Amino acid sequence: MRILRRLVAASFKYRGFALLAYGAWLVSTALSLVTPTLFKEIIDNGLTPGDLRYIGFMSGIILVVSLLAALFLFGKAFFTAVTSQKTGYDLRAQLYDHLQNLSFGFHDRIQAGEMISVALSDIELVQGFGTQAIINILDTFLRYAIVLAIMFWLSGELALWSLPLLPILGVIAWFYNKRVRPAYSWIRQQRERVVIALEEAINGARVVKAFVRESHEQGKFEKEGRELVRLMMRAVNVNATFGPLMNMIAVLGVVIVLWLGGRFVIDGELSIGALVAFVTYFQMLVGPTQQLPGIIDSIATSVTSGERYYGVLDTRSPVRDQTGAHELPPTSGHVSLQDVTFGYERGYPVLQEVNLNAAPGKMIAIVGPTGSGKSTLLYLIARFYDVQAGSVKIDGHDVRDVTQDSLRQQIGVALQEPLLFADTMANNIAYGRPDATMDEIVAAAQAAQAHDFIMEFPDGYQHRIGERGAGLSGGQRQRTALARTLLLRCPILMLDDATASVDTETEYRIYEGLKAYARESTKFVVAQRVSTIKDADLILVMEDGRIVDRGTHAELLQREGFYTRIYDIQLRDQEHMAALAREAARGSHEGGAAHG
Amino acid sequence: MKVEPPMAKGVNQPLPPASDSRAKSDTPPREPADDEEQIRGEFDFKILARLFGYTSGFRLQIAGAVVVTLINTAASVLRPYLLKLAIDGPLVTGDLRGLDILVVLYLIAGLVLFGAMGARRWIISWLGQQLLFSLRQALFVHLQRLSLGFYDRNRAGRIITRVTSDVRDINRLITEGIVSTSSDLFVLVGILFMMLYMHWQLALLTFIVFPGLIAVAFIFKGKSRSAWRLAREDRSVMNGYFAESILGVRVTQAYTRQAENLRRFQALSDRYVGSTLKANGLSAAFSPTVSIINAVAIVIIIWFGGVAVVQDTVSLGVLVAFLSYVQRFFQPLQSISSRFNQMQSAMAASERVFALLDQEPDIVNAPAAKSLPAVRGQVRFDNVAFEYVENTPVLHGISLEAQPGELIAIVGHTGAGKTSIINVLCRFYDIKSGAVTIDGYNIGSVTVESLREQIGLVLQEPFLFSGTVKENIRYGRLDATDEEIVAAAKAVRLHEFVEAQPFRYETLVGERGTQLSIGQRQLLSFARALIADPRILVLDEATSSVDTETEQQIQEALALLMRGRTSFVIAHRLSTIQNADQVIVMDRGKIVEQGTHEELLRQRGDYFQLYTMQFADQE
Repeated sequence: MRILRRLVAASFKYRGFALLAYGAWLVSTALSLVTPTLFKEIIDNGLTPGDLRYIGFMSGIILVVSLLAALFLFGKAFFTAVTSQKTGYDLRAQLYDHLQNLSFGFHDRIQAGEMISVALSDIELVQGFGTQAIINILDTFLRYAIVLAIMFWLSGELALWSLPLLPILGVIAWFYNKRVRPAYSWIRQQRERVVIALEEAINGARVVKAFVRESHEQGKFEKEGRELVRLMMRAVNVNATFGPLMNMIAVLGVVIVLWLGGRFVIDGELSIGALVAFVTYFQMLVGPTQQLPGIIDSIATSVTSGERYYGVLDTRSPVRDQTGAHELPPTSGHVSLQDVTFGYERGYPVLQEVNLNAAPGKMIAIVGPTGSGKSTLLYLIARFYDVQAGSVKIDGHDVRDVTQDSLRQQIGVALQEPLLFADTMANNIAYGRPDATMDEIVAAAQAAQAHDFIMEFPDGYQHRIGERGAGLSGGQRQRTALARTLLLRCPILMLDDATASVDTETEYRIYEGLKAYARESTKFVVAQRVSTIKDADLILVMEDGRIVDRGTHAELLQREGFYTRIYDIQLRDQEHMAALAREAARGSHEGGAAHG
Repeated sequence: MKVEPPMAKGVNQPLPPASDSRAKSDTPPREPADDEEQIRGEFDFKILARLFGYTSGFRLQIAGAVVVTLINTAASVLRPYLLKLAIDGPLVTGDLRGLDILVVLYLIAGLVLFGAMGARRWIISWLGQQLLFSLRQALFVHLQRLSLGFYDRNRAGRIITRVTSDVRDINRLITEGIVSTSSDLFVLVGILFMMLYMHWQLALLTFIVFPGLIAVAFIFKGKSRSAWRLAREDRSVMNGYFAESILGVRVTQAYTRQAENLRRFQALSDRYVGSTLKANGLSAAFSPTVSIINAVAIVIIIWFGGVAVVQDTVSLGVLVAFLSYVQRFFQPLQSISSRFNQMQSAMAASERVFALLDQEPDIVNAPAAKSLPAVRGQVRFDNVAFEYVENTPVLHGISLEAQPGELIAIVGHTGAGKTSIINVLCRFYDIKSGAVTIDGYNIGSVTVESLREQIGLVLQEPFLFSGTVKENIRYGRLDATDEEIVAAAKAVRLHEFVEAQPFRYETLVGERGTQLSIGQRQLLSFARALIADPRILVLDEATSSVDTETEQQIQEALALLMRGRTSFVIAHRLSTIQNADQVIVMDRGKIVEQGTHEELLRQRGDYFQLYTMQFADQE
């Protein structure tokens, strides 16, 4: 009930429109119920006595009533739509705003697809609750009340004999509803399975062909297809049985009315007009009776959808600005972590007692195996999560004491997964600073080694890319995302494995370029390739959430620890190559000298 | 947001030597635009005839549907007439027996009507499902026959649309379109007939409202349909933006763009509300308009019919029956008009589906193709030339020879033609000239199946099927026992990870299952290839960086996988290259150097350049 109250309250903001909808509904339903009585009057008082004046007068009335009924029907439908659409707009905006501001901890747990289904279908299901759904319910009761009254007024006995059929109809409709709804939800699920079988055969075509598994895939697809047919026919069976059955009950009602009513007419107890009207009214109750279970179900659906919707909306962000949080003043880029402990779930610490002091303008590299906590360390600095113990400070300000916006505006993060948007290259790079000039965009792209490939597009920076950066290679995506970060020119810069897909040569040039482009910034770099981080001012070696070693490249190599192992696997050969190259260079010099 | 066009000074930048910018030539081209989607449904009897070919097995059922429909119509049209008979007969004369007969007739008509209705619904649905199934199956079988070139040229989404929604449209054309349209026509004709039969003058007078009803059915409906289409488009744009925002929420927060995004989202949401309300307005006006037209008809009947009743030229029963019939005009008219539109889209869908069915596979077995016997794994390329698109050669003059068990590493910039060598060897594409032989058999003269059975392929980005770990490994050899699967997983060092999962080998992977890391996916695809135990291994080494530990695991598994097999590897790892019996250096579709790692280094040529350049200026 609480959910339903909230849904009604959401439409209450547009109570002007809602009232118009309700008013129009009342009038239109009343008018539509009057018409059969008008027919009765014409038959009994116009046609039977042969009163032409009366027939003419009533024709006029019928025309006027019909016109008014049409007008109000339109008003009802239109104002209902206006109210629910406007409500939907509000609900969507609230959800969107809320989701955007929920911190990482929430989004880690939630599948994006689920969110979209909330926005997409749930809102459309509940936006009309305050008008459409309530009007539907009230309309059923109103119709029942008025029609029953008229029927008893026409002939109480006839009413008593025919009405018991309606509860029977209602029960059948209820059973039908109970059986048909799950049938359709199975069909939906099976349809998805068919599409998945198809999708896999298409997306995995290379594998299917390489292993010569065409007939295997065919078998899978056929099995899912047959199951779909079976489920469909099950639903059809329900439909083809219950639909006619419910109609037959209605026919039975009319038969009773005709048989009994006919006798009343012959006996002179009932006029022909009243009998005709009675048949019409009886049929008017059939529809609402059949729909009643569906309407009740639709309330249940509204409650479920509403619960899902408000469930998301009521989620409090794990990371929030404190009351009285102040703005972080322009920072020099001094970052310190004291005894930081953190875990995504309680009891599973990912970082333990991490201490770190990064001086402005330095480059701090972080290495270690997957899951050792490298990215997490960066997330805590940007306060995407809150520490569980210890503190993160920037220029001495605890990150929990300042506003998130002012903090993040001073931190540039290039994330592991370079997510780009369906937009132009220029707009993608300017994502964090929509007001950037073209010169700034180009400079950032050049620093990220993205400029050259962008200029190869016929329309250069105006080149539009697809969703998630479709149309770019992995390396190009990463370089674009890096340019987007660099454009911010933040005093603190964090590259979280941001050049993993870029080839070694380009990566090298990027880091060379960074030295000038971001000289003042404190740079945090998570990387897999040792070649990238050799020049760092400080290298942190992480394992199992702890910093197990720290120092410069030369210092760490001397200690022959984990770092040396990575170095051995990755770089020794490369060093060997570099030595060869030096030799070669020298050789060609000497060769040149000899020739000269 | 304002972004000025890029300045001239940017254009003068030197072209980069960067690898990924040259990528164009080695990847097969894609169709630029969705021209197929533009097909407008025009009536074409050839297509219709071909569609009916699919119903050939169901002639009897179709006939049954038509018969049941006729019964249904007759019963439905008859009911108001029975009411008329009652009003004009027994009710006036007081004939109780007559009343009983009419009531029983009415009851029978009702039972027949709804019995026939249920039967019709069942037959049509059954027919539709059978047709849907066989059409879908035919498409899938055909898709499986098509070569990789087809999949490279067509987006997956588009193919899926063919098999799902296009097939559904066609089904609707055949079942609802044909069967229901005939039923609606019967009803319409039946009503007109009954009215003319009872009182033709009054009937003709009533038909004055027909043009109005037709106009509403066809013009009004058309307008509202296109309004709803616009609204749907706006909604999908809005939902797309929403989806993208959720997906990119980390980026948004990192760049504090929430306010700007909300503004944009609200603009899209606003547009959607606007277009929906427009469509809603049209829909809301629709049924009132119809009821006004109906009211006009009713008033005509009451006034003119009423005068006639008073003058005793028309009976009261006729008048009541007329009132009932006139309200049944509109329904069939409306469904015919809406089906008219469906027919158009179904014609377009059929055209697209048939175009797909008519695509011939690029790779077909030669007429006298024999199956390739078990090979030792000696592979020869003899002056091979190849192109994806005519006159755009991708490989030329490729000659090489691999002895059984040798490791051939292929290196070169992106776009040099490395992937094409693999594609040609697996015969995913046919070469233009030259010959590829395995143990002396030309691969073009043996059956594709027997060739591919003996080649194991490991992709750079492993594709897993939704299902369990076990099923995915078994994909390599369908009759592998559980023990063999575990052995393969152990061999590639995947076993430990699998055992740590709650459902072990029954752990679900793929789209709806556990998310495996890229390293784990690679190991799984190694196990899959290992269990197939091919003589020839074709492997595209992954470039994406994994952490050092996994890297070591992968290298060990790789070494094991390649042992004893002729292996062609697009190599990105130095260790692979160093172990290779031959390193093939490619550039622009040609082999420019060939030899062992050491030999090539000594040559100081392209290979040396390729591998030293990036470190040379580092020091």
